[in-house]
Amino acid sequence: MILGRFISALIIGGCLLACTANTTDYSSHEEVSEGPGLLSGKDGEFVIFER
Amino acid sequence: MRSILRLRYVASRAAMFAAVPVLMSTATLADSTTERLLELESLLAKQQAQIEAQNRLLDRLSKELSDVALKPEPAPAEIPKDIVRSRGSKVKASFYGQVNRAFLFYDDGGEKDVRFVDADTSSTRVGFKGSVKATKNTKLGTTIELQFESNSSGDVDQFDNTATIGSNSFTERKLEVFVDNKSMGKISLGQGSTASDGSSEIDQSGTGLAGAASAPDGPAGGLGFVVSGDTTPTGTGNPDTRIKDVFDNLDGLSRDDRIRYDTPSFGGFKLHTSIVDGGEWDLAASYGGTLGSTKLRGKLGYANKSGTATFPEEVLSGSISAKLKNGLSVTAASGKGEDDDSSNERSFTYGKIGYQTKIFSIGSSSFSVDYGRYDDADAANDEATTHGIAFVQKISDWGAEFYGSYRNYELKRPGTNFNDIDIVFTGTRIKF
Repeated sequence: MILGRFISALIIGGCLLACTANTTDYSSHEEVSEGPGLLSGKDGEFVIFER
Repeated sequence: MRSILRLRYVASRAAMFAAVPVLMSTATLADSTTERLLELESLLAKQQAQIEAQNRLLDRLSKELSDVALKPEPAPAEIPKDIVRSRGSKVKASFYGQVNRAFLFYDDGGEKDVRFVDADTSSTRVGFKGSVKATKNTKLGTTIELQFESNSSGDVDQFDNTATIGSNSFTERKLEVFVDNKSMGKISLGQGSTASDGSSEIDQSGTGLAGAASAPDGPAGGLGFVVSGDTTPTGTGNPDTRIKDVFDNLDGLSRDDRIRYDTPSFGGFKLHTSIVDGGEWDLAASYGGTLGSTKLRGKLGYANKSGTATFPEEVLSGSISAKLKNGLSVTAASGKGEDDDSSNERSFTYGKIGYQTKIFSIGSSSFSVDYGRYDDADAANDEATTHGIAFVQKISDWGAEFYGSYRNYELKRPGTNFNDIDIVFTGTRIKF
């Protein structure tokens, strides 16, 4: 029954949102934040190598 | 006439006699002067020789100095461009991490105390990730992310103030490999976020670090409720009724050993599914986009735990967060868990209003107020509510955030009168 509710909500939500085209990225507060780091600078990470 | 001649004679003789000593002394003086001149000439010659010697020394030193100045600096020791050699081109490897420490002040109605904790809202951790662009549209990669929560705010309680609270060691967060294709989607294998993870926790207020979107157990999950009139919680070892037992935001299957598939984005809309070791599985849909000038983000997840017979076996939860151009945000979350084999159900409803602005040039300032109700999570007919205020100040260039929050936890359980728990949670997260 609860799965049925999920599918219903999914269809309704999908129809409502399908009309929009601009997408945005999202990062949870739980994850390491985007952007510069105190020591790593603007990269926000220590790049060991990149080719 | 004769007298004149005589006078001339006398005068000449006198002059002659007078000139003799003069001539004699003049001769003596001439001898002395000559000697003196000879001495001076000798001295001058010596000094001239010294000057010439000094000039030669100065010339030599000057030449040596000019040689040193003109000589090119020695080349610095060669530093290898790569500490680690990669297999080839289109490869990237990096490591990253953060430290998140906080003070947790609490008043449980029986006692007041302050604890120094690792904030479970976003734990201290290190990670290593690598990827290679196999083709124009396909990327392969790995992620290893480990957390180390010393005195986790999700574990500390009123009984335990030793140095070994919780795991007190590295614990897994992500240990996975993935293949990501722009048109086919992404497959992930290993320990990591399941498809329904985060379904209850979408939040654009910017205060999740302090206020923990719909997951109020983050700042103080280990604290136990104290029965009115007592000074400590009931229980041995751990409190019987902890905040994290009572406030369950039904957030899918969290992180686990799984295989997960994510579709590509269709206008911001994605589908996700995963199968977890033990037989649990889940489905989820997420959206991230803009409607006019409003940033909208939401996720809806269904999780089935019947494979491990974990209560509740079926969970449906979702959250949606809208952020207006003026910085105002509204977030709502809700979930329900039920079990076909029992009549027990649990549910929660949560709401938050936030405002993000830039008071200082160093970074954004975020404020929020929230309220949540969580029913039947630990025992039937439990009614737990929480409300709080939160603040987060970013220092963007330093990768740092300072935060503070106040929160009240209330539990109503038929037959038992628990004290409220009030906390102030303040700390800093620094990304290195």
